[in-house]
Amino acid sequence: MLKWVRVSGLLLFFVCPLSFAQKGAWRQATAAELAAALPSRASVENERIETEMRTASGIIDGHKRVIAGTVLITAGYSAEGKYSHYLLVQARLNLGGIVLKPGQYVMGWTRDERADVLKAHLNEAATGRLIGTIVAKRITDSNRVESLRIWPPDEKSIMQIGRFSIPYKVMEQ
Amino acid sequence: MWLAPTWGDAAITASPTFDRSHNEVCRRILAAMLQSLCSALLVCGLAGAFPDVAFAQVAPGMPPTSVPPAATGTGGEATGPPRPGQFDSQHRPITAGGFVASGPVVFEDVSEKAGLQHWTHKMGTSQKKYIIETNGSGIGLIDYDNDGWLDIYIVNGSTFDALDGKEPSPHAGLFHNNHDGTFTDVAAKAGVTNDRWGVGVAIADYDNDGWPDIYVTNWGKNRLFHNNHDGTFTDVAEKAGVTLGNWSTGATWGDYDGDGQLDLFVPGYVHFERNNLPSSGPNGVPDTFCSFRGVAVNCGPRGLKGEPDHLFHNNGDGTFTDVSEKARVADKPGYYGLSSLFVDVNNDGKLDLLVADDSTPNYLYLNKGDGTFEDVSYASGYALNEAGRETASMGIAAGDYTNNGKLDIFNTTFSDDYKPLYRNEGEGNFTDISYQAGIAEISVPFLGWGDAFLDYDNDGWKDLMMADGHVYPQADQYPWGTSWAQRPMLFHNLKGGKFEAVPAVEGTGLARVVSGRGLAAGDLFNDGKIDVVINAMDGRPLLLRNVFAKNHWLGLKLVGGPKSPRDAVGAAVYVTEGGTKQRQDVASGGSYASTSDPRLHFGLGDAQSVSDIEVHWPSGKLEHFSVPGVDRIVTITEGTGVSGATKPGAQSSANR
Repeated sequence: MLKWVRVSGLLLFFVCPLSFAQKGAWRQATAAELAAALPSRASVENERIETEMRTASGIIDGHKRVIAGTVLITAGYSAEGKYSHYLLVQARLNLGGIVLKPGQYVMGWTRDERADVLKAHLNEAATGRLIGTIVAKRITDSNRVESLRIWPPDEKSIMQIGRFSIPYKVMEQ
Repeated sequence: MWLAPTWGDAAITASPTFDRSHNEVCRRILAAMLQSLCSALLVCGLAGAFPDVAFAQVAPGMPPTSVPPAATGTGGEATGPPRPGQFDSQHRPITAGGFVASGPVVFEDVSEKAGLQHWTHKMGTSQKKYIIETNGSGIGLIDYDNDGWLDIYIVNGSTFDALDGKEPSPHAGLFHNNHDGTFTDVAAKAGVTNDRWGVGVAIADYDNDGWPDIYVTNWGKNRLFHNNHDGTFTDVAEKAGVTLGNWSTGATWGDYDGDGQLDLFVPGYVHFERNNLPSSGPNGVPDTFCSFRGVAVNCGPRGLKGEPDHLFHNNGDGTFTDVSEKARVADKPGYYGLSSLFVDVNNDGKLDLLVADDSTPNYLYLNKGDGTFEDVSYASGYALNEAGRETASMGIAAGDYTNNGKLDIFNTTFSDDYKPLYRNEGEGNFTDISYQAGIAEISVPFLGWGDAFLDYDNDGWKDLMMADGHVYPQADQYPWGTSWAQRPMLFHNLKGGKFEAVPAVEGTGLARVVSGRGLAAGDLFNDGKIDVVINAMDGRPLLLRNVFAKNHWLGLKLVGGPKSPRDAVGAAVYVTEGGTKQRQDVASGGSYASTSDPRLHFGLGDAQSVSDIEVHWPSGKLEHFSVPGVDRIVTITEGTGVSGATKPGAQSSANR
């Protein structure tokens, strides 16, 4: 054990600064962390919409900053509700080419049948202001479906919706 | 990428005091080192004292910051602007219109002529104030008297007034097939009127006596009607131990443990209490769950407590044992189960289990062969639709629509949502290809219930049919583009690729607008054409007689041997003709709260013979058979062979 620590320490001495600056130790957030961070009802424009907490997913860093989301329970089981997901962003995030400042956002999508993609739109939760639109592409190497999964950046660095994915990158402050 | 395990194991060896939990912490820490060696090493030495996994993730020297609370707002209800309404040229919702004046006539509505229109379904009041009044009931096709002709069991609902004794209970119907195109309701004489708040029916010969029995699910105690072999039944549910007692839905029979006895799975929907009726408000159900498109409607299922699912093991002595927990299919989260189906989806010879859940993820349990199941719902792709949405799943249809030997799955869902078609990719993996198959957008306005793969034109490719109807009467008061009563939908299989909707020709069965619920398919007239029966909410049932099929066909009735269930539920059959090998499975359940024809029906196109019939019996035995000709129904007995050909009935044909 001690030998192992010494070896690790030497490695650490050289690698630590670079490593820390690059990744910030983002990891998968636990259910408890997600529950603490995400609201049971999200404030969207002038409404408060229930969230489906069992679908919550996100990442957290050493500063306890969270990038997480959950499905919004939209009325009438609508598959293409204006907003389908709530996102809480506490570090600058490039999501599919759109840079998001820390804040709260909502996302919805429509399906592009010809291109076999989801066209997702990102809006500011408080105002509904459109931030931009992004494309979620089909994942071909797995059958697994997810309501929402924000994979840790050291694994896939994607946000998965169903069988579609949007790449993301956590931006350094 | 992962280098740590060796180190971690070494750490255990080097330090006897480093127990397993410490090792796990170290593994985590080492994993983190690959991202941030700095934070990992600084905390690793302290891991024994602080075995909290999260500990290793805290960056040193960086004080934790509090998570900003989400902003709060006031009032309001859920958003989710729905799809634009679809209307036909006469401004009718497409679900109750969109008819064409001429075209191929597939189904003729013979309900009146057959004598079914004297029976009426009833469930609650027309206002549908409560969810218990909305879901409707199923259909079971059963040859209860073993005369070789399918009879029809139709489940009825009930009302609060009936429960209180203020009005007669609605009766279930058992329509005996008179072999002349007509049916006679013998439910009272047979002792199967149920007289409870009826939901579903699953038919199978659970005691292997050669006579089909009827399991009826209710809101309230369920019934198991044992066939007395003389045209009557006896409810043995109490003795058998399968009554349950709250809201059971679409059950399924299957021999999951291979002991030759049919076991029973019963999904639970909502836990509904008469003395605690759901209502919106501060002390009740959140308003969101009592509204649709901003309009107040009955509450649920979201916001209501889910009723668990149950698996009953058949003890072989007329009793059952609840093994839900042991088998790991108990539905711990309390999802809202509506339909279920035992069927082998990964071709390993063991029955797997599908559960269609309303507004919650569907279950796919793979049978491990040791009396337990593995929940692969998400990993398989079946839990959600392709966009990750939990669908309001109602019914399950399983069938090999591509003729590749693997069972695909079609689920009906709510309006504003497309109906997912899950293509079987093998080994228990599924891909929702509804959009690619051409049945997504067109199915959006419809609220689907019972469904079935059926080869209506006998071309050798399984088509798809679903019964439709809304749960909110308010649908007729707002321009939502949907409606309370809806026409059924039939999709023609374009040789395993896409489907196309079969037009609803005015005056034909596909243009009948009812609030459809249960649906069962089968050859009711023994004429080689698959017919359809639909149970309509608060209305008369539909008997849609197939008047279209012209091609050759083959019907198979299977009888299991001593080590299989007698009615062969769970058998998989492959019929080869020319270069095509079709598959069908004997099953009980699936379609919303309904059971279809237990006999298998193969459309053969132009083929006037089949080269091989391959039967995978539930016992594990594999046998090949040949038949002397087609356009007939033959009986195949495990270990014995082919016997008893039935050709299309002269009486039935003459009566058409």
